[in-house]
Formats: sequence, C-alpha cells, structure tokens
Amino acid sequence: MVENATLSEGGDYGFVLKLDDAVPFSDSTGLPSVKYNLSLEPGECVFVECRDSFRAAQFTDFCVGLLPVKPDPSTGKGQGTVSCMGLNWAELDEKRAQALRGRIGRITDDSGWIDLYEMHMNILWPSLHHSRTSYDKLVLEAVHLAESFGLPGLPTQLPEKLSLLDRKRSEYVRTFMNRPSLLLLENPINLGGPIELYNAFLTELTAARERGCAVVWIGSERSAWAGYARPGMQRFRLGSNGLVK
Amino acid sequence: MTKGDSRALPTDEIIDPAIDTTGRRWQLFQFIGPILGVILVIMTIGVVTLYTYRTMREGAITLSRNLLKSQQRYITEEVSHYLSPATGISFMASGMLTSTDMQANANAFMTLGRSVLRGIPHVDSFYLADDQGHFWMSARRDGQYEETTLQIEDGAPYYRHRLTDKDGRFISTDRLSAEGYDPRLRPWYKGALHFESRAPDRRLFWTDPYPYLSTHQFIVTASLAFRTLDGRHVVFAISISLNRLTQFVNSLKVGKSGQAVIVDLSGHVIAGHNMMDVGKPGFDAENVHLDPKTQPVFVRALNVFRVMGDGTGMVQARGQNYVTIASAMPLAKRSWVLLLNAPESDFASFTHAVQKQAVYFSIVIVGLALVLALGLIYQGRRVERLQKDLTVLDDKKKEDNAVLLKITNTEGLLNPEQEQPYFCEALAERAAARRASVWRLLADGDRLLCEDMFDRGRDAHGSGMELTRNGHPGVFECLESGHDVDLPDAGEDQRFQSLQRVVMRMIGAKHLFFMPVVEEHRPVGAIMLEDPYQLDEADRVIALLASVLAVRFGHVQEEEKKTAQLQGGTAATAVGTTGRSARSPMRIVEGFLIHPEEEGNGVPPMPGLYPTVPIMVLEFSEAYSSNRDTAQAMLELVAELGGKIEGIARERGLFSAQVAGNRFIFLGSCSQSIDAEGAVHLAEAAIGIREACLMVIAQMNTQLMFRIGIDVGPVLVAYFGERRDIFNLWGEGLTMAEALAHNAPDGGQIQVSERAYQTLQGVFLFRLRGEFFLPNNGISNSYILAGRSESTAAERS
Repeated sequence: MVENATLSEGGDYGFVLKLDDAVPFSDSTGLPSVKYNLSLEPGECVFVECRDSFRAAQFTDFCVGLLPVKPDPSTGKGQGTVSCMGLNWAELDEKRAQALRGRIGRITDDSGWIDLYEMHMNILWPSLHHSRTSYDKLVLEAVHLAESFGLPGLPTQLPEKLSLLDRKRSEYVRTFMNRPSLLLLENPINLGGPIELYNAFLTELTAARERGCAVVWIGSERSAWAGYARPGMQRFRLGSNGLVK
Repeated sequence: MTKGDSRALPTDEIIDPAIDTTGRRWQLFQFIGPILGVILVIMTIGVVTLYTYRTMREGAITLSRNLLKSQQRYITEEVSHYLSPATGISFMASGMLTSTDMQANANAFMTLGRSVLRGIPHVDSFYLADDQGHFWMSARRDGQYEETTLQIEDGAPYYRHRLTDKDGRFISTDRLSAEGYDPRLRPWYKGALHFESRAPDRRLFWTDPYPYLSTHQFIVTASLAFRTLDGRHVVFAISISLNRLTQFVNSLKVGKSGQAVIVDLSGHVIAGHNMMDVGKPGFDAENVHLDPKTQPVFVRALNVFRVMGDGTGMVQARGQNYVTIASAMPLAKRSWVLLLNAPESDFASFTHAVQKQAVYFSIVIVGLALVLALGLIYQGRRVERLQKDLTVLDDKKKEDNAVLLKITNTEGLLNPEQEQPYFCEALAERAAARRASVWRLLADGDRLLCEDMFDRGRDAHGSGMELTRNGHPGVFECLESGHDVDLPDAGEDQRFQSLQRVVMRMIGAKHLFFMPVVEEHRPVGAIMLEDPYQLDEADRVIALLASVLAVRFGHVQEEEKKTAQLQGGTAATAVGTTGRSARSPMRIVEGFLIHPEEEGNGVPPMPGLYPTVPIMVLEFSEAYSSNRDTAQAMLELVAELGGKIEGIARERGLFSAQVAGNRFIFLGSCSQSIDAEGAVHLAEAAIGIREACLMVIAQMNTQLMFRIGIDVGPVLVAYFGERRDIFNLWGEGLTMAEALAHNAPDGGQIQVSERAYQTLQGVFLFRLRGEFFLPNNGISNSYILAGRSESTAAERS
C-alpha cells in the first residue's frame, strides 16, 4: 500500500479501478448514497463482504459505470469519480464505455444466460462482439478454459439443459474469456460445489492476477475466500453506511 | 507478464476505449477546413469573373452595334454621295436640254459632259438620244475628251468621234461604223421612257451594273426621259464607274478586321471585297455573287435582311460571333443592300483580355490562399504531433517512474540471497526486448552464470546457464573492458558469434545489447538484452539495475572468495570421493497389478495400433498432507483401496490394470476387433470399484476422492526397456479416458464417452451430461454411468 500512496500522487496511473469519493445515484433500497473510495492496482484482489445480493449487484454496476455518479446540485458535476483503467466513466461516450466494459469479466448472481441461444454462443458472444480475434482462436481459448474448469469441452446445448454445476463452470469460462483486465465477482463460489472446481477457479484467478488483472470479490460470508486471502489484501464490508474497511 | 501489461490490449479490440474519437473529428476538420475555404474562394472568384465578363461583353456588343450603325450611316452617305452626280446632273440636263433645236441641245450636252467628266472622275460617260434615233455621247479617251455623234456618212451610219482637249479645242477626228445601232433599243432608253410618268424623285432609271469591255469599267447607268419644248422625247443618261466604289468600300475599316459589301437582293455583288479584281482583263464582274463558303456571315446577314429588313444581328460562323448590320441604300438603286460585319472579338477582345487578367490574378490569389491553407494544415498537424509526442513522453516517463519505483520498493533489493525475478521483467518490458537476462561472474573470474533470464514472449523465467572464458573469450574480453556493446547483428561480430550460437539462436534473436556490471572498476556480471526494440527508453532502468546488481554481485563474489579460501584444497578431494558409485542403481518398476501377459495366456499383445480398446482411468485426488501421521493413514487407506481394486479387476477378468501415480489404467481387452464383452467387463469393474471405494472412504474421515472415465478408442501398444519387455500404452483412447476421469462432474462419478456409450448402451443405465465441443472431435455427448440396467441385472442374478 506504500506503493499505492506514492503512485497516486502522479495521477491515476497504475489503477485498474478507482472510486474517488464517488457517490452513486441510487435510492435508499439499494446502494447507499455515500462516498465510496476504492483503488485497485493491476493484479490486486480485494474482498468485499456483502450479504445483500441486490446491493452487491448495484455496487458492481456502479464500478462498471452502469449506475451513474450522483450529480452535485451546486456545480452540476458528478460527486466524485469512478474510473476504470484511468478512464472516467462519466467522460466516455457510449461506444467507448461499452468497449471498456468488454475488458471486464463479471460473475453475477443471476448469471444472465440467454436461454434462446446455446451455451457456446453465450460464452463466446462478448468476445465476438468486442474483438477481432478469429472465431477459431476464441473457441480454442474457450475449450481450454472449459477443460480447466472440469468440462469435457465447450458446451453446445441450451443453458437450461445443463446441470447447475456445469452452468457454473460455463459461467467461469465466460468470465475468464478474452483475458479480462478487471474481474467483478459476486459470490463466485458456492461452497457446496466440488473442491476441484473451487481449486480450478482459484488457479485461473491467480493466473489472471499474475497477468495484471485486478479482482473485486464480493462474498456473502468471509469463509468464501478464507483459503485464498493473504495478509495485505484489502478487505471491506459493504453495508448500509457504504464501503467500510 | 508485469503490471504494465494490463494496459495493453487483451485482444485485438474493435474499439479501443482509450482513444478519444472526438479529437479525430476535430483533426479531420482541421484538415478539411482550410481546403474548403480555398474552394470557396475559388468559387467566389469564378462567379465574380463570370458576372463581370458577361456585363462587359454586353456593353461591348452594344457599343460595337452603335459603332457599326454610325459606320453604316457614313457608308450610306458616301455611296449616296458617290452616286449623287447621276441624280443632280440628270435633273440639271432635263432642264437645260429642252431647246427645240437639237443641235443646240447637243452642243450644250457636250459642254456639260466635258465639264463634268473633267471634274468628277468616277463619272464615266454621258449619253443623249432622242425619239428619232439621234445619239450623242461624251466620254474620256486617253486623257482627252471624246465627243461622239451618230450620223449618216456615205449613206451608212457612223460614230463620228471628235477629240478635244479639256477646253473643247479640236484635236482630231475619226469614225467608226455604227451599223445596226439604235439608241432607242438600249435598256437605259427604254427604262427611262418607262419611268417617265413617275413622281419626279423616282423617275431616274438605274440599269443593272454591267462591264464596259473597252474601258474595263464596271458601270451602272442612270437615265432620265424628258421632252423638248416641241414635245420630242429626249433621254439623258449618265454612266458611273463602280470600280472606284469597290476601292472605296474596300478601303473602309470596320472595327479591326470587319468588312463591308454592297449587294443586290439576289446576292449579286455590286462593290466590295469580291470585286477587287474589277478592271482586270478576264474578270466577269457581272457574275460575282456572295460565296456561302467564304462569306457565310454576309450570306446569313442578307438572308436575315430579306426577312426582317434593316437592322443589326449576331451571326455565328467559323466558331466565332460576328456583329452584322444590313441596310437598304435609299439614294441609289432601291434593291441595293449595304452589309457590314465585324467579329465580336474586335470589340469585345478587351473583355477577354480583362478576363484573362482576372484569371491570372485569381490563380495568384488562389495559389496564395492554398499556400496559406497548406501552412495552416501543416502547422495544425505539427502542433498535433508535438502534443502527441509530449503525451507519449509523459506516459513513458510515468511508466518509467512506476517501474523504477517498483524496483526501488522491492523487498531485499540489495540482498543477494533473495531472488529478484522482477529485474529481468522490468528490463524486458521497458526495452521491449524479447529476452532479458542478468549474469553473475563467478569468483574464479572464468565463468558467467545466468542468475535470471526472462522470455517476454513466453512469459517464462529461466536460469542456470553458464558461459566460460574458454568458450566465449570475446564476451569476457568485452566484460573486462567495461564498455556497453550494442550489436544490431551479434552473429556478425567476432567476439559475440559464440554467444549468439549458444544463447541467442534459441529464440532466433539477432540484436544484442550487452552491458558489463562493474563494481569498483572490476567486472562482477553483465546485463544482456536480446532484440530490444526501444533500447533508448530503458536506459534509466538499465542504469539503476546495473548499480543494484553491482552491489549484489560484488557481495556474492566476496562471499564466494571467502568460502573458497576457507575450504582450501579439501574441496578438491571431496569431489573425488562422492561419485556416482554411491547412488543405487536405477530400478525399473512396471506398476502392473494385473500384467497383460497373465490375462493373455502368457502371450503379450503385439506392438502396434489397436483401434477399439475399452479403456478406463481412475483418478484419485486428495488433499496432501505434510503431517506424518495423516500421511501414514492415507497410505494405509490407499493400500486397502488398491487391494480391493485389484481384486475387482481380477474378478471381472480385465486385460490389464496398471498404477501410474495417482491413476489406475485398466484395459478391458486388447484385440484388433471390437470387443463388447471386454467393455462390459470394464464397466462392471468400474461400478464395483466405485461401490467398494465409496464404502471405504465413507468409513474414514478423509478428503480423498476419485473419478472414473471410460472410453472405447484407439491406443498404441509398445514395448520399452533393454529387453523390450516393458508393456506400455498411450494414444487417443487413453488421453480421452484420462480427460473424462479428470473432468467428471463430481467426485465418485463415472464419466463415459459417446463411443463407450454406443458400446455399452442397453446393458447399463446412463445419464446424459450434455453436448460438448472439442476442436479435433467436434460436438459429442458425454454420459454419466449410473449402474446396470434392471433387465440385465435381473438376467445376471
């Protein structure tokens, strides 16, 4: 963190995600409208404990610029900034914002599968949309990830036809596709799952962090990351008074 | 991969969010704006020039028409003046020659004629005739004056010519036969009589022009009939030569190059350009007409006159506009028409000149505007480039600072005991080198040891390579010189050829940057960068790392020297005693629970490819423990499980069962043809093993879990070892079975490939796991083996 403090003097360089006194534009039911401060360097992993899944979802939406910053009534400008890879969400036009979101991998509570299309399309779609990488290369990457998460290959059936566990595996594949620069994980681990899946997830997560990917891990219980957390990693609690250390 | 990489594109993105496109639009405008301005200026100049040209042309044409009109009036006047003697003298004669005495009239006629001929050069001759056939004529002959009288001499009609000087003094006389001549039959006589009854101003009769052969004159005759006091008809005629009229008309200047011509209504030329040759022998003046080929302007002007009458016009011919004017000649013969033309350019040419000048000026202005616009664009681009350079520089400085900061913040920076892999990463990253390495010079000074080597492309570290002085004398020479070496092609340098072959050829690098690390003027190591693309940007990092490494390596060298001194010669003897002889010989363990030879009636299967072999892999996965007691318990458990598994395998009559690490590999059978029974045995063994293992594991508190995968696929059988008796197999079937075991959805489950499912369906119960895609296999289903189907189970029981 010493490094953080020194770097921040030179601007936003070095941070993948930075919430700087940012106040979200939300009502009382979801994310509390207070100041949020969070900074993530490449490769860093922070843990956020939050029991309310709706609040957790709103927080990740806030981090990816989908939930805007609350405007200051006196100046008309936003209260604080949320920036990703040095780019302020409020200053980006829609195209660039979407392209930037292409660099973010997410795991959400509802998974957001499109049931009209097969799982492989669900997995490949974001990468196909955002990059010019050839289809074959993407399939290879997806197959590789699928195998590492314990799938025999890239699933080609409709999401509803797959078992709950295989859907979870597919969700990991989708999240780690396209070498994301930031991972926003809402309850990524269900402790009831097999230990191998847990290990594969942590292996892939570590590899991604090694590549420079920053991680926000939101869990409803501390025990979820108990085996992974190391001293020095930032931990927060997201409650009714905001993000608290 | 370092943190700096997170900024690089994860893949080739379609839109880079870091690039602001609004700036691009402004850039485009900066480029197009000045060009648009220049185009606008050009268009404005064009429109203004066109408008000016039109106005000026209109004015010039009006002016030229007015000019032509005045010219026409002048010509008309001149022609009238030219022909006026005919009218004046005829009417004078009609008053003078009315005496009853014809001889007196004739004398007066001669005097009048001589005096007029003397004074007016273009009057050619006079005639006088009466109704009794008398005829008199007055004309010029060779500078004198000839008075001719038609009279009867010797019983025959003769022209009696009497030559006089200008005062009427007699010079000579001669005669010419006038046989058959009757003046009353001449056209001028008849015409005059015909017109006699007309109003006085229209009584003068004009003949058509005709050539007078003896004098080569083109002549027109005007005649007037009147009566003498005693009532006799007398006709007075005056002939006027048109030769001089042609000369006059030709001498006229109409504009710069315009022309005038007098024609009659049928296009017969009276005077003008066509009549230049009049008076020359052989010229038929009577038959000269306007030529439509050479005089299209006059022909069309005449046609217009025939229809429209007097007036001006505009005729286009020979690719040029001509201003024309046509008018009747009121004082001469009624049917004569005066035609004038002049090219428009004669009058409007100055507008062309002005226009040309305007165009030249415009070109100069446009050129200047273009230069300005280009200057503006160039300046804009320059500022843009400078800005970009500054931003890049700023970014690089920041990156540099971040890397330097990270290096200085590294824990145990100067502690040689602690490895620092980030050094090479930072070097490779900042210099964009394919590989970066740091080498330490060992205490003996003859060996360079690679402390760390980072391959950026593969994102991998390596170490341990050694360079000796004997092998690479050039490198050590450079190292001792203490100077940096930057070689674009290391293979071409004598000193580094060996290094290039040994180290750089591995990755096919050519460019080498070699920097000795010097501590207190003695070399302690070196930094090497292979194929650095931006060496300049890394200089600060290189300098910092060189000094850090100098401290670290210097320290290590000191330590090494000390230990070497302490151990002295004992080290050398120790090497001799501890040799390979101390090691136990390698043992070859096959790991078969059931050897293939046992099941195959002692005959091992032939080596080669077996296309459809039922194969099963059982994989144990467990939480390893470093606790001795736990490990012991685990070993006992594994031993128990192993025993049970072997028992089941034997019971089911499997072809072979082999232990390899945490995996058991079972072959149901091994034959070239498909063996469904072997597959069924294998599946039954799988179910049996699953039950037995689950039972054992359930009884103990352990994390140990297993997964099973079954495939029916091709395997390769081979024999290894000195005696070629070690059975080994590999191939797609084995890989698939291993993958299936590894990827089984949950612990204790048996995952079956589609090929195995085809063989086993009907006998066992399966649950479909789903469809999966693999690049070489395409889409296939995978199944979970649940158990025996009820029917077969009942059959069996």
